[in-house]
Amino acid sequence: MAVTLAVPDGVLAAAKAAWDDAADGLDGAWRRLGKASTEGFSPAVAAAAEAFQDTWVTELKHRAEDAQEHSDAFVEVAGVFEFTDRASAEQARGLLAWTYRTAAIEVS
Amino acid sequence: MGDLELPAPVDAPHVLTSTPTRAATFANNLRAVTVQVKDVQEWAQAQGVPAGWQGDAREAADHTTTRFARRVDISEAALDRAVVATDRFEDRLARLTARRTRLQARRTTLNDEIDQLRTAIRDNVPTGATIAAWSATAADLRARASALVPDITSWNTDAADAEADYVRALRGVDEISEGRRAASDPARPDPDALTRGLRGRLDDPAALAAWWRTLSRAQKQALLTEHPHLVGNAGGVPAGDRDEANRAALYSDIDRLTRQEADGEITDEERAILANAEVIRAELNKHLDNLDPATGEHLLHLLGYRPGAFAGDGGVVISFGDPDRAAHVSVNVPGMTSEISSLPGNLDDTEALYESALRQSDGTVASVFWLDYDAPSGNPFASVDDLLDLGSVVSPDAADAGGERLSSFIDGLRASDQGEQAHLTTIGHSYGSTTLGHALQDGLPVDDAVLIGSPGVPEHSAADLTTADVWVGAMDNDPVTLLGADDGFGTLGGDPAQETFDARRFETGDGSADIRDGIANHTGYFRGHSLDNMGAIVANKDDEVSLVAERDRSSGDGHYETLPEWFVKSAVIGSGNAMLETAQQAIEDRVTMMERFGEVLSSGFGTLR
Amino acid sequence: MKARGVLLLVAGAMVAAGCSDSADEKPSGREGVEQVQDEMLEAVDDVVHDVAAATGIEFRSGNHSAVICGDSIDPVGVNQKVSLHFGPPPESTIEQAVSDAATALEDAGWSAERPTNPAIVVGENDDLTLQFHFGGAATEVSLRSSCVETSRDVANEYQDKGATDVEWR
Repeated sequence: MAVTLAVPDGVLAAAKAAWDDAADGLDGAWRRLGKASTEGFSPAVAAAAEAFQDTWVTELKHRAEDAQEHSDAFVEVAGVFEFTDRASAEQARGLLAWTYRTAAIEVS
Repeated sequence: MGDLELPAPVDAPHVLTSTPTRAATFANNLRAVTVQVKDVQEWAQAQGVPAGWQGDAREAADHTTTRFARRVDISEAALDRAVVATDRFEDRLARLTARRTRLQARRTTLNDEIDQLRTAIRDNVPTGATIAAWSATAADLRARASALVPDITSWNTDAADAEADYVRALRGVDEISEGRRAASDPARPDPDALTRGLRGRLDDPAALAAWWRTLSRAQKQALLTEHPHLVGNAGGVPAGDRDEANRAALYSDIDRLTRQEADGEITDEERAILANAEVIRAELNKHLDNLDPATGEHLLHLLGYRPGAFAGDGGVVISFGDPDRAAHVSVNVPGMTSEISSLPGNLDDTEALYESALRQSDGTVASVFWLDYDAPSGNPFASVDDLLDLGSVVSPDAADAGGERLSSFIDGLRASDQGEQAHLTTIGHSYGSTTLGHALQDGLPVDDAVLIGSPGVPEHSAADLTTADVWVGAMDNDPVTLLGADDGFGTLGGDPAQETFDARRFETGDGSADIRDGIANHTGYFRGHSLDNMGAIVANKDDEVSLVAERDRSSGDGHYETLPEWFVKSAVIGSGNAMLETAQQAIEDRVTMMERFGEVLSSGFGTLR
Repeated sequence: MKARGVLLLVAGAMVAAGCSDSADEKPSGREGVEQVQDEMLEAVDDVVHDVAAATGIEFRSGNHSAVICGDSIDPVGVNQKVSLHFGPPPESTIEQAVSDAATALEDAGWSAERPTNPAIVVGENDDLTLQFHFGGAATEVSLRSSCVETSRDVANEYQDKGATDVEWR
């Protein structure tokens, strides 16, 4: 059984690459935020800055992981993007642009 | 006896533990983070539910990409708030630093005078007259102390408030729920409207400067993290804001491209961009701790950042000092072979000029290095043919196009200038002087123009070129400057050092006459007397500039060689020097041999005479 | 020996008439760069310390770097610079700090010039130029050498090293 999404050629590959880029972008962001030095600030300021960093490093890291998982949801086999079942195809459809939210899921 | 009570020495204001530069560095990092988050959020939002969607809200909420975009927007809102708070904190610290300087000056003077009066009273026999004088002085010192102490107390309070306000602002967005509230705040800046405002004014620096002044701090920071490459290169945007935008663009480019490189997903074009970005970052880091001693702010400003321009050579503009606030501003335009990889040497020259002008100035100075045009490639010193190519084959088209770009940049500087209009000097070196010449021809609004090592400019008199004061530096042993002579080889224009050009020629020395020193001569204008003279011009101290005769083949003082004559003379000297070195070594070898021969003979056959 | 004397006379005449550069014996090559670097770091340890002590300024950071002199495509040698960053003079006016610095420079055998800018004092010794720029927020110090001739490869090698931190003893 093969489960695919009825979208124009290239859309799924582009989505995979775009989610991968998003993961990279957020990855770069949390890393830079994490290593931004608070040295030279007074103790009170450094503490506040570090608390801010802690929260948003964690948040951005999680979002980066999400984006990478979304990219990994698109699996290409012999030039065709297939999904294990209807549920995973529906999930992947939600990762495409809004305009494809009602794209047909084809089972063959 | 009169009242000789002396005030106690006044204590110093508290030390500012958090400094403006620390805040600036932290803010630069936050902006670079915000740029990357905004890029992702903007992409996700564009893929998600359209703005103004009237359908089922659950449908939108179920769309994963839309949910992702909304979730990332929470981080974006929190970061925006943190950037604004840090930017405000930096400005307050800068103002506090300036106030502290003034308070310290009052305090050290007052404490010295208290000390002096105490010593005078202790060491002198009091008389009616001295007691009266001391009494008056003591009263004055008490009054000044009474005024100073509360000023210092007020400063201490303001410094503490600045820190407390910043801490409060950060604590206001250090939880996800607080970020969510920030994201839905109706007062949040509208990036689309701001972007339309910016794009509509990019071709009019004066209009852009005026519009920029109407924006709030939050709007400015939102716009520069939304479009850092655009804001950073926009004439009319203040230098400080351009620097912030360009640094955000630089660091986020490096983060992104480094990651791509590690993943094996980088194109050749992107590799060139990354290499250029890393050179610029290295120079900024080298000067990270360079401060303006008066304000405590970072000395370097990144005013232009276009790492992929000109087929990978890149464009960059860096200033020592803030050109918007300086009384004297210089802009250096470099010549052939200039690209971002040649930045270290070029910046060193610019810094040397900055220091020279600063020494000779009674005001503030900013020295800008401007490399934002497509300088022709090639090495004019590789051979005689290459040098002649500079005059005949290398086209003035790049200079013409570069001149237009330079004009735009100068218009931008003039538009963002604060207070009294700065005294502005442009300096063009080598092909950069030809570029500057084209810009001057089109009416470049500067006060002084300096042409050094010039292969030619597109007019044959200073008066036809510009209404600015024109100065020329040309070593007679710099072969590039011999191209533009009336009887010369060049097609880039006239030699501005000629008497007929009627510019003012300043002392540079003539350089070494050895042909092997041609390059050193051509690139040696930012040292010695030449540098001192350029510094004086930048500092508007025209009377301090030492002048020499303009070139004139018929005169004694101004006589100079044609290019072929120079080649012959300098080649002889060059090979002569090489021959002399060889001959000298041969003679020394011979003398050594003779001495050894003498020792052998004298040991066997008695003393040699 | 007469022949030897004649040879020496000829050698002397050619040296006197010829390459004036050889008479200057300026440092050159890798050895020259290292020599000048040592002189600069020695100056940091000596005269800059003297000025810091005289004015009360506190060291914050500093670095040393080399850049090519000549064209980037055709370097002819290496310029070196030491950049040092201090706090402001804590207990004196700028004018007094400049005066104290000038005295310390002269006591250390350097010349001391007070240019138009009243916040700056410049010292010179051989081929080294040392500038102090005092302010209410900071003091910036730069120490520069003149160009040391080297081969193209050596020049690029030194420039590629980038900036290295200077130790304040």
